[in-house]
Formats: sequence, C-alpha cells, structure tokens
Amino acid sequence: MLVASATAHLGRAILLVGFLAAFFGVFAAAVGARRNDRKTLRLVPRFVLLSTAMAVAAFGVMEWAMVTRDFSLEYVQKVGSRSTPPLYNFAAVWSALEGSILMWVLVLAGYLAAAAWWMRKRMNEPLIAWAMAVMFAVLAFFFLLSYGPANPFVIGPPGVTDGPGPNPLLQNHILVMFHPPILYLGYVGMTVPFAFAIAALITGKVEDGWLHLTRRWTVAAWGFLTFGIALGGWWSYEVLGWSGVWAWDPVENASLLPWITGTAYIHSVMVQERRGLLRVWNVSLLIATFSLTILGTFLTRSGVLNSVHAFSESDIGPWLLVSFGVIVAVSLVLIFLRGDQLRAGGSVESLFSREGAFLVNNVLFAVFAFVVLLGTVFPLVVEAIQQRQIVVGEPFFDQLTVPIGLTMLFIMAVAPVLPWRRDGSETLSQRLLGPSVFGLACIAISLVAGAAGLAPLLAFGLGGFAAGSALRHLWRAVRVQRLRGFVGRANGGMIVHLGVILICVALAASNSFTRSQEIDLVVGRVASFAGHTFELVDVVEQRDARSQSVRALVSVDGGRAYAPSITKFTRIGMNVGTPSVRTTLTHDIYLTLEPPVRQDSGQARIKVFIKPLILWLWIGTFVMAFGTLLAVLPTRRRRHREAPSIHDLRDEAIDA
Amino acid sequence: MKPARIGALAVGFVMLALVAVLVVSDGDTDVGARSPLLGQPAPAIETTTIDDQPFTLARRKGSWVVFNFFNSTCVPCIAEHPSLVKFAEGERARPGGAEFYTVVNDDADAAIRDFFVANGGDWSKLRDTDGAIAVAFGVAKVPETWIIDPNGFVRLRILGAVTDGVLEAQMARLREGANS
Amino acid sequence: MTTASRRMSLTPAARRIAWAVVLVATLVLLVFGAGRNTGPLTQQERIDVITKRIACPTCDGESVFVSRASAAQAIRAEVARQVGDGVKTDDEIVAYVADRFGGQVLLVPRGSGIEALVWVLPVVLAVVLVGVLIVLFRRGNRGNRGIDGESGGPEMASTGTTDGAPANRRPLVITLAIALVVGIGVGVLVARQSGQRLPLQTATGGIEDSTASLLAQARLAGPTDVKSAIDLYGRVLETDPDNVEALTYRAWLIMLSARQFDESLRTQAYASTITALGRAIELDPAYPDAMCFLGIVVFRDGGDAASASEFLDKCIARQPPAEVRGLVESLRAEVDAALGK
Repeated sequence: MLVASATAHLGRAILLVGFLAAFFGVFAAAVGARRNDRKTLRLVPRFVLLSTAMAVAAFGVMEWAMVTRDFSLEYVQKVGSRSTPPLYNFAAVWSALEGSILMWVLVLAGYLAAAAWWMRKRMNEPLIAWAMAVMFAVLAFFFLLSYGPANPFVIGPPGVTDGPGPNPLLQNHILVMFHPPILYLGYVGMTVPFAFAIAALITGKVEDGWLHLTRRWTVAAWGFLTFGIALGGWWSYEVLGWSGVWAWDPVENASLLPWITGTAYIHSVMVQERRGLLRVWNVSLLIATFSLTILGTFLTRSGVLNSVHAFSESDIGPWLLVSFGVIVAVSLVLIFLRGDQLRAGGSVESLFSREGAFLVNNVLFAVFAFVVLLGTVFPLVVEAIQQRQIVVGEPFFDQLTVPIGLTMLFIMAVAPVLPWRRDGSETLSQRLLGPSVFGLACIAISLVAGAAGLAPLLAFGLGGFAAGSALRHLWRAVRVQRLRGFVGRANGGMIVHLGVILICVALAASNSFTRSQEIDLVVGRVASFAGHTFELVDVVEQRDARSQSVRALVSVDGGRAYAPSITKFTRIGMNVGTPSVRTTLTHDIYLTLEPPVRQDSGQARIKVFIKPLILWLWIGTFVMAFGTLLAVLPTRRRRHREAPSIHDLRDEAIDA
Repeated sequence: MKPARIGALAVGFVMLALVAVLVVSDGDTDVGARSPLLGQPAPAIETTTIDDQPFTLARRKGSWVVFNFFNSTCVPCIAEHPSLVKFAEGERARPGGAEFYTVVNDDADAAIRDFFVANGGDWSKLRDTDGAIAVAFGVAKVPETWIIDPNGFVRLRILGAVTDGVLEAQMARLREGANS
Repeated sequence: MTTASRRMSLTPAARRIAWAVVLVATLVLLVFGAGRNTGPLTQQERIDVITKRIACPTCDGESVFVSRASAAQAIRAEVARQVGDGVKTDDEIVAYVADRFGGQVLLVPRGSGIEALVWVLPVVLAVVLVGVLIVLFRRGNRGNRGIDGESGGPEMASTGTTDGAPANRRPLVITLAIALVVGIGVGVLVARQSGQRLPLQTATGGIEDSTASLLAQARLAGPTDVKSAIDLYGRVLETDPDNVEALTYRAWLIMLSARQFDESLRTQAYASTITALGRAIELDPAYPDAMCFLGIVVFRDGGDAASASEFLDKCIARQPPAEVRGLVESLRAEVDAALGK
C-alpha cells in the first residue's frame, strides 16, 4: 500500500540524505582544511545543518510511526503494541538494535551541531576543520549503518494490527526512559574529544590548545557516562529482582570500559596541562575511549559473546568490527608517524610528586581496563582456540578489581596533597595525619557496627582516609575563596571524589554484608528475620490489557505494606518478578515474591534481602553529578579560551 | 625505536591477533550435541504425567526412550511438532519401537493439554516440577530431544528443533550400532 | 601557609609518633576485624553463595544468582533442594550442576591450563608496568646525581641524545625481564589460589550414586555375562534389599541359568524366583517386568498355563518395555495353545 509504506520510504530517504550530507561534509571539511580554502570551509556549517536536520527528522519519523502505532513497519511490529502505555511506547523506539542505532545518529548529530556552533567563529582553522571532518566521518558511518544493516524502516509483512510491545523488563520502571539516552550522551559524547585528538595528530598542532578547547566537553561526556552507568545499576536494582546493582555482564562491561579510560584521561591530562608531559599517552587514552565505545557496541550487538560463530551470522557485527579495525589502524598509523612530534622536554622528578601519583594512577587504570576487557573477551578466545565454551563471571572480576579499587582509594587520598615538581614525602606525613585518623575512626565505627572481613574493612578505612583528604582540600579552598571554593576543576573534582568514596563504601558494605532468607508467609502469622518482622496481609491479583499480576502485600515491622509481585505478560508469555524495597539510610529491605504463587491460598513465599548502605550508592551518584557540574563551571569569566585560567591553576596551588 | 612507535606496533599486533581469532574460528555441524551424560546411565527420573499417572524412567529399561523437552510457547517447539508426531506414530507401529515422552518445561498443564488437543500427539506428557528433570539432564533451552537406549544409557542429545526424518535416521543408526 | 602551620604545629618527632600510633592501631583493628566470622548464616545465604559460583547456561556470563531466566530458576530450585537436604557440600552441589550442564557453567575460570591466562595476564601487566615505573625513576635519580648536570628525573621524552644509547637501555630490559618472571610467578599463584578447583569431570564412571551405577553395569552385562550380572544385582540388594529392579532381574537371570542344570537345582531356583518376583510385585504392583517374568517362568518352568495367562494379561496391562513385551508376545501363542484356545 502506497500510504502504509510512505513512512518507510520517507524514513529511508531521510537517512540517505543525511548520509550524503555527512559524507560530503567529510570532504568539504578535509579538503578545506588541507588547502586552507575558506570557500570550501563555508560549506561545512551547511552540511552540519543538513545532516543534523536529517538525523532529527529520521528519529522523528520513527517516533511518529511508533506513537501512531503504524504496524506497516517491521520494527513497530517487533516492539510496538496497542496496549503499551504511551510513555513506554515512546521509549520502545530505543529498546531494540535498529532504534538504538538511530538514537546514536541523533545524539551524534546533536553533538556535531553543538560543536560546530561553539566553534562557529573558528571554522577556518585547520584543527577545527579536521575535527569536523572526523566527526562527519563517524556520523556518516552511523547513517550508513542505519540505512543498511540496521535499517529501522523495513516494511513488515502486511495485515499485522498489533505487536508484542517491548521486552516486559523495559515496561515497569520509568528509568527506562532515561538510562539509554543519558548513557548515549556519554558514550557518543566521547566522539568530540576523539575528533579533536585525531585532528591534532593530523595537523601536527603540538601545542595543547585543543586540549583546553575540549576539556569541558570530555568532562561533560564523562559525567553523562557516569550518570548513565549509575542509572543502569539503579534500574538493575529496582527491576531485575536479584537485589544487586552490577553483575559484570558483557553489556555492563562494554559501558564501563570507555568510562575507565575516560577517567584515566581526565586525570592524566592534568599532567599535560601543567607540565606538557604524557601527550602521546593522553592522545592514546582518548582514542582508546572512543574505540572502546565501538568495540563495546560490537561485542554486545553482534551476538559474538553468545557464541563466537553467531558473529559471522549477524548483520551488524562485521560492520562494527571493520569500523573498529579502521579506527584503530588509522589512529595507530597517526601515532606512529606523528607521535614523537608531540613529545616535549621535561620529566617527572620524583615518584612522590603529583606527577608521580598520576603516573601510578595511569598504571592502575590501565590494569583495570585490561582486566575488564580481558575478562569480557576471554571466552571468545578460548572458544575459538579450543572449541569449548567457558564463562568468566563475577568472581573473577571481583577478585581482581577489589585490590585495584582499594589502591585507587589510597591514591585518591594521597595525590591531592602532593606538590607538583618536587618530592613531597615530607608534606605527606604532615598533611595526611588528620585524614588517616579519620580513616582509623571509620574502621573503628564499622567494627562497632558489626563489620568483619579484611577487604570491606580496608575499604572503609581507605575510604575514610580519602574522604578526609578531599574534605581537607575543600575546607582550605572555602576558607580562602568562600563559596567559590566549591567551584572549578580542582574543587569540583574533590566533590566528585567524595561521591566515588561514598559509592565504594556502599558497594563494599552491600557486597559483603547482605543477609538473605526465604520465608513462607501465611496470612495472620508474623515471621521475623534479622531484627525485622514480616506479616502477609493479603495476596491480590490484578489484570489489565497486557498483563496479569499477583501481588503479595507484606507489612514490614507492622508498618505499611510492600508489594512484591509476579507479572505475566500475556502476549509474550513471559513472567517478570518485580521487587519491592523499603529504603532507609542504613539499609534496604528488599522483598521478592517467589513462584509458584497459589492465589486465594493466603500463602506466599518471599525472599528477603537486608542490604546495608544501598541508599548511599545513589547519594554518591548525585554527589558525583553535582561535583562534575561544579567542575565544568567557569571560575571567573575569561577572555582567552585556550589558556588554563589562572584560577584553575590557583585552585591547584592551594596545596602547593 | 621511539617508545611511541613501539607502543603503536604492540597495540596493533594485539588487535590483529584479536580480529584474527574472531574471523578464523570455525563451528561444528554434527546433529548430536555434547553433554557430559552421553554414554552414561540416564539420571533417575521419577515424576507423574499430566494425568497424574506415575512415571519412573528406570522402569522403562528394555525400551528405547525418547525425551522431548517442550514448552507450548516456544516457537521452534511448535515448528518441530509435526515431525515429532510422525516419528512417534512410526515408532509405535513397529515392534520394539521407541517410547516417546514429552517433558513439560516451565509450562502449565492446561496449556499443554490445549496444545496437544489442537495439534495432535497422544503420548505421555511428564510434569517437571521446578525444572528438576531439566537440571538433571542439563537442559537449558527448549526444544531438546534425548535418546536413551534399552539399557538406560544416554545415547544422543539434539539441541533445537528437529526436521522430518532426522529422528528416524538417528534411531536407525543407533539400532544398527546396538546390533553390531 | 602560615595559618596552616599555626594549626598543625606538631614537631616532626611528635608527628612520627602520631603516625606510628595510627598505623599500629589500624593494623590491630584490621587483624581483629578480619578474624571475625563472615560466613553464610541462613540457608538462603548458603544457596546464594553457591548460585554465585554457577553460570546460567543460557545467558551471557550471568551467574545463576543474578539471572532471571527459566533455566537459572530451575537450577536455583535444584540447589535449594540439595541445600535443604543438607547432605552435600558446596563443592559437591556445584559439581552436580557442572556434571550435567558441562564445565561451561563453572563461573570461575580454572587456575590451570589455558584458562589460567585470564588470571596471569593482568598480574603480569601490573608487575611489568610497576617495574617500568621503578626503572624510569631509578634511572632519573641516578641522572640526578650530577652526570648530565641538567635536572634529573626519568626522561619522558626521548630527545635522542643520551637515551638512544644501548647502555642506558640495559637496566630497562633487565628490569622488564625480571618483572615478567615475577609477574608470571605471582600470576600463577593468584590463579592457583582463586581459580576453579573442581576437576572438569568429577566422575569417571557413572554419575549417579552407587546403586544406580551398579544397576547400570548389571544391565549392560545382562544377557552376555549372566554371572556378573547376577553378582551385581546381588550387591545392589545387599545395600537396598527392596530394590525392585534388582530383585526381578536377579531372579530372572538365575532362572535362565538354572534351566541348564539338573532337576533339583532347577526346582530350587524356581521356588526362589517365584518368591523374589512375588516380593517385587508386592513392593511395586505397577512394575510390569516382574509380572511379565512371573508369567513366563510360571509357564515355562512351572507348566501352569492358566496362571501364566492371567499373569501375562496383567503384564500387558502394565505396559511393559519393548524387550519384555517382545518376549511375552512370542510366548502368547504357546500359552493360548496350551490352554486349548
């Protein structure tokens, strides 16, 4: 039918135009940069406008089709449904592969447009032009993916009037709306500093002007990535029902890897700004961060982790792998050719200086990234070599990352008090005495609260140590600058550190000291566990158009009832358990309903998890977000954008 | 050589190795899948049919037994059903034919009954409370078909849906092997 | 700075004492806390510990504890059952699941073989990087002692003047070699300590307990090696005197062998066979084989066609397995003839 397929054809046409706009944009920017031709470069903003408009239009068409339940499209047949509530239906667009790639195109185009707007007065500079070229190239690739193997506008078989809707796990919590877009704002945002890094390599612009240009972009993208990952953990906790936040599964690891290298970059770049050192390493970190976003998408979308043989059968796998290869190859060639031009004189004098601490930090993050990458990819390698499947799971990652995490807490405490350029071991013993007492107090308090075990106690002690050090810095900054003592890179960074410490401590507590029990509840009888009482009030059943659910109303400690449930989504035949959580500052009481549930029997079997300090995970996340915001705020209005502000340096000089 | 170049070369080499590993690997194409139970005595299964008749696997020694793990909403199970009906009828017709059983995986009795009424197949369907039988065999995903010989040893495991003639051919092969 | 020094005005000596106190106190508290018991306290916690060691067979590396898939739920139920029985240890329960789903459900990679690489490589990398750092700083400090005259420290930039010389690179190479060896050593230790210790196959013979395995062996020996079969069934009956299969088949095989012997032995065998088969039927009235063999024996060795016919009818009603049914059906005609039908 002409009308029914109009949407599909329109969508594909838009994607094609967008691809062409980005494709020609590459040439306009690259040729213009190479020849320093202003007329060609004047085309660049036009191509930006066109490709961004196309990206927005394509996404709009997809959303329109989804919202109007246009079942002529195969994608809508797959994830759309008449009985899905409007909010979840809107989010259904990014619940499967094709829609996610479309959203990637949208976010990337948005970043391209923002970068072009911000640099609009400097579009004639080769560095900026080359950066635009690189961004156009990446955008063109994703447009091509969306036009080709990940086509969301495929016309489905005719006569379909309803669909199953998105996966039920994506339908019972509002977070589904926010987690993927925010994660993509982080993931995709790393393209901007990557583009500038490549541009710097191509143009041989060895000064650090581009660094200062992109610093805020990188921190902002990193902030979104952090928040997105944390939201994923929150979603896992609220929805999945196993009472945890992080399972080290490949999808999570794929989002963690660029975060690790991104964090390493944010810290290591301070050495470059101060002393001009580690340029090649930092450029490599940026390139690695971006490459890992592509590799991560490949690993999770190509099916290669289910079986290494599924990879060659998937549509999108080979494309992503080839693009990963191209990016790595081009970057390696550039570093090979230009790397030594980036080097500057100067050296790191002492291990006990700020530079030395950052070097150790780099080592830690490199090992961390290696552990996560190796663990994720290792089953593939073994399967390819020995034809048998193995699994590398949580115990491996926990075992290796806990020592790394503890060492990081230690560095977090020590590094901010070290001076630049000279040996600071004497200053260490002077400035860290207070924080160390604080750390000792934390261990003592936790022992009184009943903690045990070497790793969690070390986490609490080192966490207190690091918190004391961060608070010390903030205290001194506020004393000198009053409220401005909270703003700016160094101070915002200390607040982010506080957030990280809260998260580490909460993770240590909840991983080590969770109590659990399965309880058979009968109406009228009170059961108790771990100092709390549980009483089954009622077992109710609820039906609606798309599901039927059984809920057990459990009164905790004689107070209000919490209702863990099991929902059967009738269309798909899938049973989904939904937990119910009572949150307090000290611990969460996490309830799940266990199958089989006999309705009208007045009985229910529940599982109770007592999870300490979970709320502090989310508090820590918000502290990190807040600190990131403070870190990107300008300290004072500056005239020159390139040089680091005297106030940035002054923040760091507080301790010098 | 300058460190940057060494680093670039090293990373390049590792990446090449990774890509090579992914591209070069090859899969196997046997009908039968691996299992630690192959050639071992079948696990002791005691359960009931959905009509509440008792069933003990050990009591079936002396017959070939075919277990098909099934769920009425799983698409490949529905697709392979006609082939199973043909196979079961063929075996019932011959002397010494295999006994065919469906093991219900995570499904309700009523749904199973409805499915078989609509699609045919009047062999015994066995209940699997809490998936104990599935765990005993190591069955993670349906459909799976298992063949157990008259001495109670597991002889074949097929993952996924079967097509027409596959089970007949495998039974013939196994019977031939038993006679030789 | 003056405000700061006014606040923390400890003399260096006092500071050193303070640090010593803090470090000793920390050590004491850590040792005290580490020694406290942190094991699972409830049955559910023990189930959680075990399920965290098993991978869900249909997921991407999620443990059975985490996964919501139906296979994972089934395994959780099985683990809960076995923990509830209280007989097996944690390792045995994990082995039970691994024996059925294959080694791929062992979530912790092994500490030996190719899998150990996943433990060893990160440790090697960490040690090597630390070694590189040490060498860079040591080399720098050596330079600091006035050889070049310029400000010392490890050269982060190879300016091509002094660093290209092989003499300067030797400490780096040596340190790298040492770091590699140390790293591999520590890595192997970590692998041994943390790696999966369950063998790939916990049973070389039968997976089941000894009764089932004896029955399986007896069944295999069966028609060809009757003597061994009878012995094996006998051993089953020693530990499980009410085992219906052993009772039935032992009696049947004894009767089969006794047919070759003389009269008195045959009569004795007949009597004991009837008793045993009768007992089996009494224990499990629905067991078809016992009823069928009773019918056959009563006809062949007892000459009683009428009873035999009755037994054989009951046998067929109980749906015997194919081999037994084959025997019965081939006898049917004779029995009918004997009854004059």
